[in-house]
Amino acid sequence: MNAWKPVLYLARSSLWALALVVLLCAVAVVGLDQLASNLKATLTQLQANTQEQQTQLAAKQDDLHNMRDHIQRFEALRAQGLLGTPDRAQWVEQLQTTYQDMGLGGRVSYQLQAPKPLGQDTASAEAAAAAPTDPAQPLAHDLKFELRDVHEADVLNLIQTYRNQVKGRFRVNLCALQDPKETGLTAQCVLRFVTMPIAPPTPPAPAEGTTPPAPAG
Amino acid sequence: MASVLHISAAGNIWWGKNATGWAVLPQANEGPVWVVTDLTEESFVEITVPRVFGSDRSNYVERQLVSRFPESRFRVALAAQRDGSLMDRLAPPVQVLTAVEPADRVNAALENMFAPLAGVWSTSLLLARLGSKPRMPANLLIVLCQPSGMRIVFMKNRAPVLTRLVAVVDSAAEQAVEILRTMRHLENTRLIERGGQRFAALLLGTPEGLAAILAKDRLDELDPSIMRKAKPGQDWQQVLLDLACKNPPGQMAPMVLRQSYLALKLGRAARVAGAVCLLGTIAAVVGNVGTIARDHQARTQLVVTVADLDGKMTEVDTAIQGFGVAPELLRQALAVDNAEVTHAPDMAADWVALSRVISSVPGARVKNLQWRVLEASEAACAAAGPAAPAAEPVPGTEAEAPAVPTRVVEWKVEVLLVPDTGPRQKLQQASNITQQLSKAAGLRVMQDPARRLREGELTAGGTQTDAQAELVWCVARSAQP
Repeated sequence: MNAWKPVLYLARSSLWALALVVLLCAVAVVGLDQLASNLKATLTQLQANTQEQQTQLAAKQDDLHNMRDHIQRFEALRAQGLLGTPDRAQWVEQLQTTYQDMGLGGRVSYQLQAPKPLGQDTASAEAAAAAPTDPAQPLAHDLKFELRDVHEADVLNLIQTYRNQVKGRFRVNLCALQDPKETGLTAQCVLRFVTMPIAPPTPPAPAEGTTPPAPAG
Repeated sequence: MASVLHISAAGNIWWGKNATGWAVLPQANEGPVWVVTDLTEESFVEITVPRVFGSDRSNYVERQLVSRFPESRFRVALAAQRDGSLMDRLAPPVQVLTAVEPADRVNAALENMFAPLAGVWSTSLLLARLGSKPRMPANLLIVLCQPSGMRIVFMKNRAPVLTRLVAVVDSAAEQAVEILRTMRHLENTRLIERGGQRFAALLLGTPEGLAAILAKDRLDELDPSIMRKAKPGQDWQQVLLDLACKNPPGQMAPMVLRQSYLALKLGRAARVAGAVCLLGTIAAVVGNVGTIARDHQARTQLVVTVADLDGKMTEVDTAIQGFGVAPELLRQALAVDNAEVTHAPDMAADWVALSRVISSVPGARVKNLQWRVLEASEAACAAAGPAAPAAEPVPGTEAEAPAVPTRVVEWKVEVLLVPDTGPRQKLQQASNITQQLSKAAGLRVMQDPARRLREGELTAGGTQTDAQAELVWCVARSAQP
C-alpha cells in the first residue's frame, strides 16, 4: 500500500473530484427521492381525504334529496302529532267526542296505558322501565277501549272517524268482538299510538339576503 | 498516439503508431511510453516453491527474485501454471522468474525520459505469451528473426525455460545451426530428453528453407496460420509492439518508475467513474423530477378539488339547514311511521274478507272474533300447533325507509251454525269455511275444527252450546307492507 501512496497523491485532484461528484450525486439522489416520497405520502393522504369528502358529499346530497322528496310528508306527520310531546289527554277526549258524535248507545270505557319503548313487549317493557332509555327513542302508547251493544260496522266507522280527528298516529293492534246479542256485540280494541318525543325543532335564522330553499315535490 | 521505446543491441528506437501502422519516430510523442527490450541480458529462471500460500508465498517469491537478480530492478515473477492436483493448483510447485540483468542499458534509456512510463516488457516474455496460448503445443520452440538478431525461446509445458539472442545470421543453414545448438543445450541440461521426441517450432520471420532443415532434426514447423494475426510478410516486431501496448502480464519495471502513468490511469478512471456516476444521477434525477412534477400537479388539482368539494358541502349543508330538520330525524320519523302505522295490517279489510267467508255458509254467524297484531317475539296460534312464519324484515319500498318488518296478524274466530245441523252437514260446512279461508291470499289456517270433526271423536247428546264451541278457527296472516 505504501507504494501506492505516491500514485494516489499524484491523482488526488481527480480522486477528490470523484469523491465530490459521488457526494453530490448521492445527496441529489437521496434528497430528491426523499422529496418524492414525502410528496407521494402527502398526495396519498390528500387523495384519501378527497375520497372521504366525496363520500360525505354524496351522503349529504342523498340527505338533501331525501329531504326535498319527503319534507311535506314529514311536516304532515309533525302536524299529526307523531313528533314532539304527545297530547295524551286529547286522545281520550277525542275518543269520547267521536263516540258521542256518532250517536252510539251505551258508553265507552277506555284505558290509556303508560308509554313504553317501541318494539318491546310487555315483559321487556317492564324490565326496560327501570333502565335509562334513550330520550329520542320512539314510544308506543296503547289505548284500550270497550264498546257495548255495537255492530262491526260501528267499530270500523268509529276507528276511521277517530283516526281522522285525533292528533296522533296510531294503528289498530287488537280488536275482539264477543257476546253477540240482539242489541249488538261487545267490542274491545287496542289502538297503538306511536310518538317520537323530541324537542321541537328550532329553525335557524335565515342569513341576510338569502331565503330558505323551497321543498321540492 | 502510443509511443514505444525499443531497446536492442542496435540501439534505442522510438516507435509511434498512427493510422497506417507503426513508424519510427525521432522522439517520443506526448503521453505514456511503453518500453520493449530485446537484449541478451533477458533470462528465465524456474524455481521450486514450497507449499506455502498467500503472503508467505508472495514473500518467498519476492526473496527469490531479489536473490536471483540482485543487480536489476527490472524483474518479475510470471504467473504460475495452475494445473494438476488441487494442491498444485492452490500452490503451484514451480514458478518462472524473468528479468533483464544487468539493466544498465534500460536504466540509461530511462534516465532522461520524463514521459510517464507505462511499463517495461521483454521480447522474450512477449514471445512466451504468444506461445502459451491454449491452441499452441505445450512444448514449443519459438524463433523470431529480426535485423538486430535472432531470438530463440523454448517453452516447456507452456512455461518459458530458456531464451537466447543470437547475432544476425543471414542463411537458413547458419540459423539452423544456432537453433540446433540451443536444442543440444536443452538436452545437456536435461530440460528435454535426448533424441527421443519431436518438437514443434514456431518460425517467425525466418528465411525460407529453415523449416526443411529443422525437420531433419526433430523440429517440425508449426503452421503459421495458427497465429490469428499471421499474414504473408508479417512484421512480427510490430505484433510484439501491439502486444506490449495492451499491458500484458509480465511487466518488469518497479512501481516507482510508473507512478506518473499509474496516476494518469487512476485519474482517468476516476473521471470516467465520475462521469458515469453523474450520468446515472442525471437519469435518476430526471426520473424523480418527472415524478415530483406529476405529483405536484396532481396535488394542486386535488387541492382545487378539495376546495370545490368544501364549497359544495357548504351549499348542501346550508340547503339542509334551510329545512330546519335534521336529516336523520326525518329519516327516522318516516321509517317509524312506515313500519308502525302506514304499513300496519288493515283490520277492516280482514273483517270484510271474513264476513264473505262466513256468509257463504247459510245461517252461520260469528260468535267471537279476536283480531290481533302479534309482537315480533310472539308465535301465532301458539296453542294450535306449529307457529306461523316468523316475522321477517322485507326490503324497504322507499329509499329513505329501512326494512319494514312483516307483521303477523292472528285471527281467532268462533262460528255458530244453524241449530240442529247434523254431523255430516256440520263437517261439510266447517270444511267449506276452512277451504275458503285457505284460498284467501296470505292466510294460513293453524287451527281447523273441520279436521277434528273428520278425524277425531264425534260426540252427541250434549248441549247445543258445548257442540258449537268446538268450531273455532285460528288463522295467521302475514301482512305484507
